[in-house]
Amino acid sequence: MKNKIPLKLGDFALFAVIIALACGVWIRLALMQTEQTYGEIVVDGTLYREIKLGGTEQETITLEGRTGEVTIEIDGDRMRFVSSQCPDHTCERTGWISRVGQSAVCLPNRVMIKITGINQDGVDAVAQ
Amino acid sequence: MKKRWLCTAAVTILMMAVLAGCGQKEVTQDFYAMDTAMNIRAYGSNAQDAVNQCVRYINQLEQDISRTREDSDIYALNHAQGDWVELSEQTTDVLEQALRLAEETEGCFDPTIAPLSDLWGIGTEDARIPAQAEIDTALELVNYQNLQMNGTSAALPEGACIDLGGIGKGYAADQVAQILRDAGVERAVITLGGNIYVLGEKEDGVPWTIGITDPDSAGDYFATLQVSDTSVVTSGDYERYFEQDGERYCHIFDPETGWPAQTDLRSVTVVSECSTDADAYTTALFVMGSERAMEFCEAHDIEAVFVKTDHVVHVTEGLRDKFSLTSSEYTYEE
Repeated sequence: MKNKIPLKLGDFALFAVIIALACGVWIRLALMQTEQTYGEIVVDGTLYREIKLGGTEQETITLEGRTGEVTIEIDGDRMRFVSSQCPDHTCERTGWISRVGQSAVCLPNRVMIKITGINQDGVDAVAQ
Repeated sequence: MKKRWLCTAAVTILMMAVLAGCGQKEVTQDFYAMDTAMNIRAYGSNAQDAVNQCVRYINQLEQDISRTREDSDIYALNHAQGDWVELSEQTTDVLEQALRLAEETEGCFDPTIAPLSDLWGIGTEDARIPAQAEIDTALELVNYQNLQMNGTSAALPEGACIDLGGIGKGYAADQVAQILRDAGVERAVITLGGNIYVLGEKEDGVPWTIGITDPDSAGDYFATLQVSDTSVVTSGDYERYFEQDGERYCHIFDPETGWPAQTDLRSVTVVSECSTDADAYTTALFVMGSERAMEFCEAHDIEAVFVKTDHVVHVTEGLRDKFSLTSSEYTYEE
C-alpha cells in the first residue's frame, strides 16, 4: 500500500516556521547561559533601577528613602551602600556585593540592592 | 487532506509544548513585613496568585504576633498586667511552638527575653552596656516558665514580655511553604529576612545552592549548601551588634547571664524541614557555644554548620556531602 502525499508550498512554509521556532528556542537558551549580572535597586518592594554590571560602569546613585537620603555606588561588577540617613547604618556595613544571590538592605529606608542574572559562583539565596 | 491537517496540528502543539517548557514562568516579589525584608520567588502557572496569598498571610500573621502593633494579641498579652488574655488560634500555635522549643533547648532559646534586649537596645541608636543591677532586675522577668497557657488563653507576670521575633520568621516560612504547595507550586525560594526555605528542586535532579553569610563580611558568603525541600536558617554575631572598647556585643542574649552571648561561635546555620525549629535552634545553639551545641545536635538529630571565632568550620555528618567551602579564609574540620 503506497501512502505518499506530495509536498505542497504550505508544507515548506510549515517547516520554515518550525525551524524558525527551533532557532528561537536555541538562541533563548544560549542567551540564558551567558554570564551577565545586573545590579537591582528595589525601593519599597518596587524595582527602581536595573544596572548592567561587569563593564567599566562607575556611578553614584542618590535616592530618597523613608527616613532620608540613600547613596549607592556602582563600580564595574559590584555595588554597595555608601551612606544612608538611617539609625542603624547596617546597610553600609554590609559592604560590596557582586555575586548573584547577594543582597544588602537598608531596612529603615526600605531600599534594597541585589545582584541578579547568571554567574558561575552565584547562589539561589543567602542565609543571613 | 485530513491527515495533513492532523499532522500540522500535532507539530504545532508539540512546538508550543517545547516553548512552554523552556523556562517556567518566574514570579518574584519583594516586600517588607515583621520588621524585615522578604522575597518570594515561585515558578509555575499559578505562582502569582500563590505569592499574593503568601504576602496576605504574612501580614495577617504579623497582626497577630507583632510586639509593637497595638492591636496584636501579643501586645495585649504583654500589657495585661498579669490578667488572662484570649488569643487567636494562630497566636496560640506560635506561642506553643515557642514554649516547646524553649523547653527542648533548656531555655537557651527563650521567647521572654525582651526585657533584656530592650535594656541593651542593640540595633538601635540607644545601644549601651547597662549597669549589672539593671541587668539583674531585667533577668528576673526573663523565664519562659512564667508564661501560663490554658487552651487559647495565656497570662504573663506583670512586666514580663513575649517577643516572638526569634521564631516568627521561621513559623511564617513553614506556613508560606505550605500555602505554595497547596496552590500547586512545586519550585520556590522563600527568603524571609535571611531565613531561607526552598521548595522542590532547582531543576529536575539539581538542588538549590544556598550561600551561608560570611561573619567577617556580611554582604558575602563563605560556603554553600546544596539542598532541596528544606529550610536553611543562620544566626550570627554580625547581624546586629555594637562595639565598645574593642568588644563586640551582639543581639543574641544568654538568658542565663543577661549579657549578649559570648562564646567560641561566630555563627550557626541549621538545615531542617521545619523552619520554626531551625529558627529557634540557631539562637539556642549560638548561646550554648560549640561544645555543648554539637552534643545537642547529636542528641536531637539536628543538622548544622558552626563557624568558630578561630575561623574553623564544623559541619554535622548529614550535611557534609552538601557543603562546600568557597572562601579561603576558613578551614573545614570534620
